[in-house]
Amino acid sequence: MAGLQTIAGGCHCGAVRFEAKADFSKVVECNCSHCEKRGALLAFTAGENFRLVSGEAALGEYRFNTRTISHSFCTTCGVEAFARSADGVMINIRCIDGADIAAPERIAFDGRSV
Amino acid sequence: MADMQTVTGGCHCGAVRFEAKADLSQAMECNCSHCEKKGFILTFTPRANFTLTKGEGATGEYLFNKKAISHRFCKTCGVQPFAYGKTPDGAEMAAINLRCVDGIDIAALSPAKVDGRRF
Repeated sequence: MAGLQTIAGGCHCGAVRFEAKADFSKVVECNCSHCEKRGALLAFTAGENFRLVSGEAALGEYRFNTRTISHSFCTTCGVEAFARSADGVMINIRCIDGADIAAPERIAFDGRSV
Repeated sequence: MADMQTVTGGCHCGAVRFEAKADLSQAMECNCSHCEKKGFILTFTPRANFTLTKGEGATGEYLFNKKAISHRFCKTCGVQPFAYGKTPDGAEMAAINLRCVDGIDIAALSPAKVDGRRF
């Protein structure tokens, strides 16, 4: 069983920083119109396992379709490091410090058909 | 030999739209700190082959490091469809994020790996 790992990460310019605990051994790669444009590789965790360390004011929010997910991107550099919903937080592992994006198992999700 | 196609594309929310002639067989994927975070799959085309059809005022500009590349992302949805830059000999270029091309089949692309982290 994969354990929770504590990581830090953020956007590119440094305005947005976070810390999180999650299982990063598997990530979801979704083909929906939004995820595919971002190349998002997502790890999911509960809201209490995520802490925004800096940059709340630097974040822009984007919602679409059912508007249930708050996509948070840095308004300075455009990077979307995470998204939040009532069910928890989705962390884009591309934005983890020192990420090896080739390492986690990728689980394809057919978001386009949802 | 270049195999230019005319493509259209844009950000997610629709505020930024472009039309371009580009060679989709010349895609590249770079592992630098910026490209990797944005998941770019890029192809480059002369600036004259790229037209921003909508959204000049809707884009934010991000510059870093040598500040030579104008990274343009949509201020509404954050998605970055393109960047402007120059070749070493000064020719104006556009870098197109192929993820943002309408109807693109990502799996059909074979991007060359560029080790931008070492540049």
